[in-house]
Parts: sequence; C-alpha cells; structure tokens
Amino acid sequence: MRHLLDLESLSAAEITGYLDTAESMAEILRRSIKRVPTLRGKTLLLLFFEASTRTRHSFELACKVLGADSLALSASTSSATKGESLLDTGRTAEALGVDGVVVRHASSGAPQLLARHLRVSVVNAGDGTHEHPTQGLLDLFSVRGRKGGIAGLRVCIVGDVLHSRVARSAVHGFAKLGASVVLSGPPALLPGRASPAGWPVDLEPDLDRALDGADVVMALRIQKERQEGGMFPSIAEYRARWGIDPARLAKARPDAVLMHPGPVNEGVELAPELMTAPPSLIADQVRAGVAVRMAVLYRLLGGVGA
Amino acid sequence: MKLVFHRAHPPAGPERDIYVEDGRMVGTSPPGDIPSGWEVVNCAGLWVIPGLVDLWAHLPSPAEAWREDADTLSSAALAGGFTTVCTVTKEHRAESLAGRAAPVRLVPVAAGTHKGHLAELDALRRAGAISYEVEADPGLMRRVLEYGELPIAVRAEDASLAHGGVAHESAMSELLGLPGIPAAAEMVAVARDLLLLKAYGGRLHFAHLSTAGAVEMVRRAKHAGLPVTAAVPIYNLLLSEEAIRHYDTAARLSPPLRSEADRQALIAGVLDGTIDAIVSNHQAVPAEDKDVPFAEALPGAVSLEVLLPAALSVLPADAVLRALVGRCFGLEPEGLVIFDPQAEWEVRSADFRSRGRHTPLEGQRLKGRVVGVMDGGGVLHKHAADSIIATIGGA
Repeated sequence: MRHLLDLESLSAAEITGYLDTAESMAEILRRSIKRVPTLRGKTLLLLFFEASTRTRHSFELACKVLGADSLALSASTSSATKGESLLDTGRTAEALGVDGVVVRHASSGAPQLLARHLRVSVVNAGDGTHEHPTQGLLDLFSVRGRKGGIAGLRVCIVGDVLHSRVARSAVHGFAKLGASVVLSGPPALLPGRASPAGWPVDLEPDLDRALDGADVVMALRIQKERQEGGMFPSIAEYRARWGIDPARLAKARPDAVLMHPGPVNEGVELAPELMTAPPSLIADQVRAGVAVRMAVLYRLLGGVGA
Repeated sequence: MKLVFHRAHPPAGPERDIYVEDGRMVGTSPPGDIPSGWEVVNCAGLWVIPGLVDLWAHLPSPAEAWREDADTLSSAALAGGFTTVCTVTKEHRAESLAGRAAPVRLVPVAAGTHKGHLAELDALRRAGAISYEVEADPGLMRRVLEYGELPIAVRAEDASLAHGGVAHESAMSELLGLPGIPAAAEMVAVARDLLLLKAYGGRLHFAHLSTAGAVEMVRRAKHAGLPVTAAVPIYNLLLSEEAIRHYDTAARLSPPLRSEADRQALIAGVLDGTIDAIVSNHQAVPAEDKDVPFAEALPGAVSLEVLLPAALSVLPADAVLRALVGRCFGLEPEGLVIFDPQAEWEVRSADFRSRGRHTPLEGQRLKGRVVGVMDGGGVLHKHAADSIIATIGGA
C-alpha cells in the first residue's frame, strides 16, 4: 500500500489496520512528551488547494509528533490553471525529494491524478465531492471508541450526501465494517436515484423514519449555494425537514451518538444545544484527527502493511 | 495509373482480381494471369473494401491548427482507411468553408445558424457543406427545417439537463463525485427534434447518439417513415462508463460513455439498421487539457486510426462496413482499403499520425489493421512493410 486515495477500494482488514494503529498513536498523544522518532528524516508536502483548518493542522501535528518534516503549500487557484499547476507542483515536489504528498483539491480524482504520475506516496485530504478518507477513518475511530465496535450498528447520514466527500468515505467505511447505512435529505442531494444498486445504503427522505433505530446520526454541512442552485427551496424549509434538534434526535435509539464533520451551521443542520450535549461525538472527532493521520502516515511511509 | 488488386477478397466471398485505372474500378475477374501493362498489388489473405467514410470528426479552426490541422487529420484518416471525412466546423460563412480533395476528401459540416439567426444556408450548400448544425432553440430548428435543403446534424443534448456534467449520471458518477449528464438530456433533445421534424418537414441526422432511449425513439420514428438518420461514436459502441472508474481523462468524452445497457442498445441499433453510421467523433485534445483532474479535462479522444478494427471487435463485418459508407449524407465511397484481418497490434498513441494523443484504448491489443489505401485520385498509400503488400511491376 503506497497511497491512501479512498476507502471504497480498501478491504475491511485494511481499514481495521488503520484504526488499530491509530489506537497506538492515541496512546502516544496521551504521554507528557508527545514525540517519537518513527518518521525522522521523512518529508511530507502538504498541498492544500482549498481552505482547511482542522485537516491541515492535524496533518502538520501528526508530522511533528512522528518526527517528520512537513512543507506546507497553500496554492490559491484560478479555475483555468489549477489542474496544470497541480501536476506541475507534484512533479516539482517529487524532484525535490519529498516522500509523500498530502493533497486537498476542489476536483474529484485530483489525488488519483498525482498517484498515476508520481512515484511518491499520495494521501487524499479531500478531493472535490469524491472522498475524504482520513475523515472517514476518524469517524470510524470515534464511533468505535464510544460504541466498542462498528458491526451491526445502524448509521443515519443526513443532508447533502451527493456533494459530500465526508459522506462518501463514511458510507464505504461503515458499510465495509458491517454497519448498515441509511441516507436522508432533500431528494436532489441524495445519490442513487439513477441506479440505487451502486451504493451500499438505504434511502429514506423522511428523516423521522430514517432515524428510527439509528445508533449513529451524522449531520452534514449544508452549503448555501445548493439552495441557490435550486436543489431545495429554502434554508428554513431545510431546517424544518432535515434539521436535527433534541426532539428529532429522540427518534433515534436512546444511546445514539451524534456526529458532524464541521464546521457546523448552528441552528440549520444542528440545534446549538446539541453541539456539546452528551450524545455529541463532535469533539471526539476533532481529537481523533491527529491520531488517525499519524496512523496513515506511519503505515504509508513507515513501511508497515506494504 | 493501372493497378490490379490481385487475389483481393471481401470479408465474406471468394478472391478476385480488381482492375483499377486512375482510381476507377474498371472490372473484376476471378484470380488469374494479369495482362501486361498493369501494376500488380498482391492482396492474398487481405480484404479489399471501399474507402471508408466518417461522418463526424472535429477539425479545429485555422487559429487552433496546432491542436490538429487538415494535414494531420487527413494523415490519421488515411492510416485508418478513411478516404472521406466530414469535418465538424463552427463556420457559418460560405467563404470560410474549406473542403479538400485527395488524398482524403474533407467535407465540412457548417453552422446553419449564428447568434439566433439563419446562416446563408444555400450559400453554405453551394460552398460544399454536407450538413449544418442549428443552435439549441426549437424556434430556430423549425426555421432551418422549413428552409434548408441539407440534413441537419443534431448533437442532441439538452443544455439545462446536462449543465455542468462531465460523466454519465449514474451510481458510477455519484460514487466518483463527478457531476452527471443524465440520459434524459439526450432523450429530451431527440424527442423534441423528432416532434419538430414531424411538424415541419426537412431531414435530421443525430450525429452521435449514446442512450438506449434515444435509439428506441429513432427506431419508432423510422418505422413511422420520418426522414431521420443516426450515428454512434465508436467509443460509445465499444466502452461503457466502467472506463472512467479510475478517472482516466482519455475516457472523458462527449457524449459521455454510458451504461452497459446503453452500449448493448447501440450495438443492437447498428445491427437492425436503426443506427445508420458508426462515426469517429475524433477530437484531438492537447495534453495540457487532459493531464488534469477529470472534471477539468476537455472532452474528446482520437479514434480514426483504430476505428475499423475496434468496430470489428464488437460487430460482424457486414454491419460495420454498411455503417461506414456515408449513406446518411448521400456520400459515395472513394478509393479502396486493403485490410489485413489477421494482423494483431497494440494501440500506442505515440505512433498516431493525428496530433491527438488520447484514446481510452491505449495499450490494448486490436486484431486487424489497415495496410494500404488507394485514395480517390488512384494513388496507392502503403502503411506497412513491403512484405505485406507486394507490388510487382507489370508483367
């Protein structure tokens, strides 16, 4: 395994391998001196073509803890040249001798392009509306930590699934580890209308029904431009039908956990009082980010699992 | 120039000698002694078939000749056995239309409307246009159907439904996170134009169908006697959306590669004659527009140099050859093609004569290869070593 491009093409064993490694990494993070020399001498290029706070910082922190050097490059993009500069930048990085490239890009498949043309390891830190595999892993890690396992859980993902890379990675990750997944949201923002057979999920636009029996509820960030693009009538109508508040959450199982990849539009997809309520895993998700990204870098660059 | 194609045979049928003088076939006979004064082309084991006609290849404007020009397009056509190519231009002025004769006859498809108005349609016809396109507007389509004399070439994609799409809308495009072009975008356009054809007369040619639903509508329209013809691009006949699974930008095409069910319907359409022609939809795209993430890549691939063997890999020879004679636009084939049905070769775009370097068949093996072409002017072009077509001086 040289790259981490998506969760769709990973096996359950490979995903579990990452999660188990992340447990060891979390242990390092609990020490008073959070430094190990595991990746000393390795250099990573963090190539972020889109704004990112938590993903980028957690990769930087992961590099530091493991002793690797990181080189950050936030490229501003113009639509005409971003593709060209992506591959050019990747080739330059390779020529400079970096060991891996972590890339976030607005176009689906951008990391695959780098992986095809470069010899260094490529880690997908979010590509367009495709996948965000390290987010998927940290979601699994957080749920496993709270629930003790993934198999047999019922996971309800709510919102703009069609344009969400977080949702795609979550769907593949949860499904591969034996959970069942139901998607809910405005019809134009759900996949599977053309041919539902391609997705390992159930579809239930009615949120109350979708929440029935759910162990995990994941709300997604709603982008205002989707409403402006005519995919649902208004934010108010969205909140009324798919917004989650304590009464709504009560339709799920009593011990259900609540997730959100952040940043949250408070009062739209989630009621503000739910953010820090006991069911909320949102802080765990952020915390898990560093351990999971350490695990990814360690397994790809440290020669484990090759 | 007097040539005998000795021991030539069609895909099915006995060997014969074909006598050609200055590009014109003057007689055939069972293989035998050749009279003196004739140059002999030994075609034992090879097919000799009429020069192929392509109804849809993209030729950039002269300002963008670095992408592909008439010379490189002709050279690619000749390598693939095509002696006639209809070139898609965006020219709406008769004086800007440039046709071309041998070695490859280039016949322009013009723009029949410009900024919401009719172009000088009769002047375009007299300047050599074989067909014209109409901007996507039902009112304009009606006017051109009523006024024009040439078949109207239709790309059949509703812009609103296709908006922003880069791949067939399906579970595949959704899993890849790529904006989709629904099959309905094509079907809505086909249905609309068939209704206009029925109401206002004229002739329609669907230039590149890709969906099962559109094939079925054209089938019914033909049964009802409407003057409509249709074509399918070679890659839509050969490949499904599976080809984009790893974001291969060479498979980013317009129309997009669709489902396996669509592909099977297109094959059935060629077999039963609903689809009249297989077209190249040849389009050279520079590397800078392909070595980018899938959704940012420009659509298009080159195909003239692989079309014939590729088509023969999915359809019987008689159906393939019937679909490459230019019937839809009333063109007559020119020249002859010598084809080695047994030759196996690997597709390497670096060897292409086209300036385009992108094909979804890169690295694949094909069976059958064009080894020589006699163009419409009677000149013989040999593509392979002399050992394959031995020309022997007149006895």
